[in-house]
Amino acid sequence: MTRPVRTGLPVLLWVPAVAALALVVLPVVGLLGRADLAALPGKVAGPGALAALRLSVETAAVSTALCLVLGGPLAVVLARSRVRGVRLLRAVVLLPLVLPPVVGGLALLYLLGRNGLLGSQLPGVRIPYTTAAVIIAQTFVAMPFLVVGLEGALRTAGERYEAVAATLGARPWTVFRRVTVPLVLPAVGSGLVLSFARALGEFGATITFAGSLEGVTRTLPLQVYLLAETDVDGAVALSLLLVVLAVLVIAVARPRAVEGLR
Amino acid sequence: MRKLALVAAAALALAGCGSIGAAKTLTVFAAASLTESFTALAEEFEADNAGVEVVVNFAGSSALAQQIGEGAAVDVFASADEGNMGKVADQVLPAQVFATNRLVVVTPPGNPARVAGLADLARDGLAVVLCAPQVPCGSASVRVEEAAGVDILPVSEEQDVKAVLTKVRLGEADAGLVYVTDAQAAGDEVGVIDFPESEGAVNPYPIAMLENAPQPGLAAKFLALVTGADGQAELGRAGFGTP
Amino acid sequence: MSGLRVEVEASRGRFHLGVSLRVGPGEVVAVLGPNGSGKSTLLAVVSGLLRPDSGVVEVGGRAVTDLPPDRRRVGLLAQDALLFPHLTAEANVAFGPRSRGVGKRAAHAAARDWLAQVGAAEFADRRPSALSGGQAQRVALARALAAAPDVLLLDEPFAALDVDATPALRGVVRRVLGRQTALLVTHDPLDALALADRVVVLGSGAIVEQGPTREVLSRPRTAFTARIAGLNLIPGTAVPGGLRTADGALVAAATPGPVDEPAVAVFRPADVSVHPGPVDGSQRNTASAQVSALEPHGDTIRVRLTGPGWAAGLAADLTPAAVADLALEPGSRVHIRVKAVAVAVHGSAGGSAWVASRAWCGRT
Repeated sequence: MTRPVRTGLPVLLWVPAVAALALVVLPVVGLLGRADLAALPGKVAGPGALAALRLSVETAAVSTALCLVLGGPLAVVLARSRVRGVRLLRAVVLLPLVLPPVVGGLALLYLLGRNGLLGSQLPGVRIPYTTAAVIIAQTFVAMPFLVVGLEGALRTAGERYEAVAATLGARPWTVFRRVTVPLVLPAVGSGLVLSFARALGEFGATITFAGSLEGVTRTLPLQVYLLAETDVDGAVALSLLLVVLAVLVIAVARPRAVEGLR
Repeated sequence: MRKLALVAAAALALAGCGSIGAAKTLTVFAAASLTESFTALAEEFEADNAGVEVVVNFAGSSALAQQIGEGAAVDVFASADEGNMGKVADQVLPAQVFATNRLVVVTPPGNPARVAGLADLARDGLAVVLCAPQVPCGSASVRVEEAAGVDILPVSEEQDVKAVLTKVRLGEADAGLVYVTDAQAAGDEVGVIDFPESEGAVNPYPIAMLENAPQPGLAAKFLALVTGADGQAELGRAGFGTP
Repeated sequence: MSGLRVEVEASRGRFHLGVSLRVGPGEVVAVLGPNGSGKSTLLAVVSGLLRPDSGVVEVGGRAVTDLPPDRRRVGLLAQDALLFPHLTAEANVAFGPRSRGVGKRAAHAAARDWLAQVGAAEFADRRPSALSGGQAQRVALARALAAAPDVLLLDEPFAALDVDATPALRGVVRRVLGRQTALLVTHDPLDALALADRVVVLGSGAIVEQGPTREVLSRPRTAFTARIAGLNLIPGTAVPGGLRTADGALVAAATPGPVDEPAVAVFRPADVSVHPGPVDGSQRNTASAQVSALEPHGDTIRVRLTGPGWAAGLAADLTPAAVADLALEPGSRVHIRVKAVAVAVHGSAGGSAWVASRAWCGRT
């Protein structure tokens, strides 16, 4: 049998690569081992669980859309603007990645809470304890994933295609729509998947900023945390549900988004 | 396998703490709300018993019960509720109640929403934060509501007392229900309102020594200290009631 | 048909460009110049990517100086094809018409037409990643022309291609340019000869030479033009019988120039003979020199020379056999001779030309 020979994958790389994979996969295997598979459907179908699942999917979807609508233009500005200080802004965008989520939640409270900088200026509007607060918290932590990935893609793509499009008579909006966006579409796709996954798993900022109430603010991760207090098997079952959901999203969305245009 | 690993980890941790020049080590698992009083009692016990070191593991009662269920080597378990003690009933000698805790209403400093008592918490438009019914302080809240015939609709059901306190302290909630001991520990940062209905849901703290305690003799002595006059005085200072 | 008029002063950092240039309707003007002479600055100013400090850019009589690139009707074909990777060849070509509001059907019909004209009809449905460099450049040419620019800028359009692909594409460009007004930036005198009606030579941000292509290339007045035309050039002052260099040496010439004016002596590298020892002193136009480099040049070897006098910077073309006989290598000391009958003296532009050639020599 004749087979093509591939060059240049140092054998040494396999060791840390396998270790890395093990670090990611084995804990999930542990989760599976702990789960009482027969009781799983019952646990997952519990009323609190279903409400949490529904809330999680809905809020994560809205957050992801917000990441795109707000973060997409931000990435373009960061990558293309020649205004001074943009470099500093780029570091600021990374803040939610560095901040512990609970601190992020506190920061949101200090801004939008009843006594917050902005919140105190909005009498009659309460943001904490609402589903909107969940979405804000998720968007806060998930946004950098989209912005950073997209900005990098925009820089890699460069401005030469855009300059050519302009010499062909395309107005700025046409250039953006027909050249810039298609060029970075794969990065948009993977950025959306990452943001959705992060929003889906978001816990600390949500519980701090939005609180925890069934059907309103108690997303799947919060439900898991609460359940772990009384019903560990139920918590494990819901965790597995979260894992399945994330894997499903990545498996379905990612190849299409990343490879769809190549 | 899993249990083995857990035991090994616990043993390692304990060995690490206990092996420094002490002949004997007494291991106590205690609910987080007991942190201040049990730390003081452990020091007193060490002073009275030369060569003995007391290692106290403070955590949520359910987490402690779970670790005991997994086989951790423990001499004494002090739980914040009877439910969690019940989970390990087959591993402990009969438990006895050594303290009680009860709920109080806490408000942000100055009580901006002018809350006067428990009944006020059902008021429309008031942002009340409770513990989730799944955790001990939450189940106590439910019992208080039932006893008083008050139906509170909280804006959030938190995971533990500390989270309730944080939201009240920040002024993001008008009121919350927490244990009197936690309210006392928070000092001036919250206002405290006692209400008579709390007597209808007094939370008993049971303590017990384990059947296969590594140090049964010391365990019995520690139990005696906690339930004796010195122990009760120390617990009283932290705000606990006597059984 | 519309022409181009550029009269601008522009600066980029410490570099300064000041040019006055006209391209008549339907005319193709080649811009030659060494690196750093201002060619890319000129193109950026004309295409609208760089705003000049002062002056005016006129396209077809319209002042476009303050217009963004998309409103100038100035097309650009660069070194790299830069085809939009997410569009097929046909959609790439249709991009310009579509951007100008032409309907989809009409735009694609025009695109197919242009692809046929550049000999790329068969690639219409391919993505750029499936095209060779030459094929991609054909599509890029069709795309630039399909946008119907008033002026087309060609920025070294063959520089990134295989040597084999260049002649064919040059032929295509020659054919399709037709009556298209165009400005062609190039390093290759062949491009200028094949495509341009006129040549403009830039040096240090200013025009140092211009005129009909053949005339400029056969009678260079600057070292740079001489070099790209493959000629030797010695600057000095015209005197009866030849040219006097700055250090007083006389270069005898069969074709003298305007006496007492700044001038250059020009001759081909093939007319320089190289000898191992001193040449008979009675002979004119001899000098000692040192070999600085040897480069293959077609069937011959181009010997680059340095020396104390006018031999500095000259080139001599020898056969490989002659190079072997003389055992030449960098550093070899030799004597050279140039037959007076092969030397022509032309009046030069004077100071600026000299500065330009010096600037260029310093870089070599």
